[in-house]
Amino acid sequence: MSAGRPSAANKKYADWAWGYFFVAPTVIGLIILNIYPIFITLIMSFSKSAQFGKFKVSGPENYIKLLSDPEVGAAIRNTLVFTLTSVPVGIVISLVLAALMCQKIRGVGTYRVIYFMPVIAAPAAVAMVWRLMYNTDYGVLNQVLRAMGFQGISWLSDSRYAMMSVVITAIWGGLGQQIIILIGAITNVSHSYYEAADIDGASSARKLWSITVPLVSPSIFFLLITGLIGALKQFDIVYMFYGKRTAPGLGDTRTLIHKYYVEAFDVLDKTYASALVMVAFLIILVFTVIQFIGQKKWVYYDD
Amino acid sequence: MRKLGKAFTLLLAGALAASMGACGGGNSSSSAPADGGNTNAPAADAGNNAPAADAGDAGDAGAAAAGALPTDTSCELTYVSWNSNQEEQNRATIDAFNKIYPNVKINLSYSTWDEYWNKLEASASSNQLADLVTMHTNTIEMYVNNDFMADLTDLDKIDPNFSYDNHPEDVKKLYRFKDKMWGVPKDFDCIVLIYNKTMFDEKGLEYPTDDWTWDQLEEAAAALTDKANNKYGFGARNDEQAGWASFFYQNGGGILNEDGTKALLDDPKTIEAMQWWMKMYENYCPPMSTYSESDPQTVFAAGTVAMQTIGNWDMNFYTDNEALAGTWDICALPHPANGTKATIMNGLALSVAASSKNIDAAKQFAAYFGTEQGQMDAAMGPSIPCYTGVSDKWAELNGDKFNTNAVLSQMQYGVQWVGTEAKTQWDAAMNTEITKIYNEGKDITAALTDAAAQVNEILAEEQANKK
Repeated sequence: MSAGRPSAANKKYADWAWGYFFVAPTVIGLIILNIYPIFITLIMSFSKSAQFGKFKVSGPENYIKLLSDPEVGAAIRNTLVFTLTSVPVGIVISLVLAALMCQKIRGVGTYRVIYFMPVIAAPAAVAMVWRLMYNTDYGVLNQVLRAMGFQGISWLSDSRYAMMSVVITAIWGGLGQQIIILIGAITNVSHSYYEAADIDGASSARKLWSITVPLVSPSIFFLLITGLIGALKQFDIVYMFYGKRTAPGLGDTRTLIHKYYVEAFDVLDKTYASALVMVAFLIILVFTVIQFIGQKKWVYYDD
Repeated sequence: MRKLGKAFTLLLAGALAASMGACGGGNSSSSAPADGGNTNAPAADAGNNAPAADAGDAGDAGAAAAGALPTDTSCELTYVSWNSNQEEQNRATIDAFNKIYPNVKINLSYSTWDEYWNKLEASASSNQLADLVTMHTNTIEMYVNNDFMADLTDLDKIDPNFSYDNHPEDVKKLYRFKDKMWGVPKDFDCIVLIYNKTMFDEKGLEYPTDDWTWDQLEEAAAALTDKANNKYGFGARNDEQAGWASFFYQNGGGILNEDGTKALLDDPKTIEAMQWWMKMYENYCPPMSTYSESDPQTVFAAGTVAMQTIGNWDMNFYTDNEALAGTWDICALPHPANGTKATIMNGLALSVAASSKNIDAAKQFAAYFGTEQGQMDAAMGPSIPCYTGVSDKWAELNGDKFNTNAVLSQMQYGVQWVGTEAKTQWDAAMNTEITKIYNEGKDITAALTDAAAQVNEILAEEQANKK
């Protein structure tokens, strides 16, 4: 590559400089917007709150308070239940739909558009619309149930259904993006595999499980990682559905980040909120590490 | 791949159309469920009462005069507030001020109650507070102690028409710290009982009066409740300022003692009042799911409840809705037969940021705002002007819409809405415990005792920090 160019040493230096120049915007952004705040948050979590974002370093009181706060345990449990149901179920549904939308059927473009629609809407707007649909007295879901002769249910306020309602909304809101990514991956799978399977008489389900899934596993892995991280940070749907404190059903759906938000911006106890968000950070870290170790076993990179 | 490309083109087109729809929808109804406190009511009906006409009406009260600020001053001020249903009356004051100072441009912006305090705290922390800030008793002390507010003691020196003598002491004292004034009294509010005349007529019952007792309320609520048909007598919802708090004080209990150093939540009188309130909730109130899934004003307007407590700041919802005209009215809150009449009352103020770049202009506006003329300009709105004598003008302008006397008479025995520097913290603790009574069936005495213990701990820390 470098043959015929002057002064290899100079050239090397210039390459380095340009390299740093090109990564600088990202690296500087990362330091200012991510890394610096992480350290400040860590320090704040060991501090005592003063007003207007000020704080005094004191000790681990916030973590002690956290252990005795019953809402924290419930929030961690809710967050895990939400994540471990919404992400896997969402990916399975997306995979099946993506596979269907890669078939040669009439109007496939229309289906793709329809499924992508929720991605365009702001998450808060999605939650608002679902909140109206779930309304016990006037919601369209209960009207349909009643028309069919069933009793309406309290989708949001009944502790048996509250989490399910949040999960359904989250899955619906996430489908579009997952489907688009999976369609891209499935389209890239070589047709020769399917032809060979056809000759061996494999069923559609068998082809999906034995050919498509392994070959799109890098994409599934990508969706799983981003999905889990996103789900562990769930806030918007719960907040739009339940507000801050008094709504029935909030106890069954309050997530760690929702609890963090209320402590930081309603109670204005920024240091306790920092401790909560450090816990969330640790949980996300653990999930990510497990996945990166696990991926060696089941992700198939087609080089 | 060509096919996929086509799909993307379609998607893009769809995206444009749908995102516009989504944004519009999101903005027009972006309020999260109400958590109590002042909820945002719909914006005022623009066709109702042209501000210019009203300013003209009020003109005979006294001509506005220029103050210390040169009338040709040119600058821009930012002015923030919550409760956009008061936009019309605030604009009327600004318009009248602009007749004297045509080149002082005042940019008024609104947030919902919840967002307002988040934004204000964030803007204060980054030293970018708006020039003119609507202030509340919950927070004023915290902002004053952190030097964010400008001293407004000497406003009479810059506006000859201004004098603090014209404002009621009850409100002035809320904005006086270190013997200085930090806010110009803006308006009063209180809690009233709103009732659905149609539902009373259907049952042939007498309308509630300003002198009703708890027993009379309960009797009527029982007669009006028909759960099978989704009709309820009294909306005893989980709401602090506009709900249970007034009833604590009526019964001789309360939230905090007078100097704000100790909780009264575990006082037997408070517990008794809460027990009565929860009895009303269990027997005559729609389930909390109804109140958390729809906002309280909608629940009442839909004819689901016959009687409900409401902050007077939310009354625009009804006065501006012509379909509801004549179907409702208000009266004073009922009181216990062996207790006293009481309603939670609060006074708001207009404050000026200490960091304001145009502080002279901002102070000039605050002074004008506090003159008789300035308060007259705003008299047609839902809030009650905080100026001796102007409340009569307010009653006159609103008298054909509802029983304004219920509001004015309650002012005689209103209980000041309590606030201390650490309110955000003890308020959260109190509400969390009371929410457990509603949502988890926690024993009332246990919940209030636990709440008192937590509140006392926070108050003790607040006192310790002051020393």
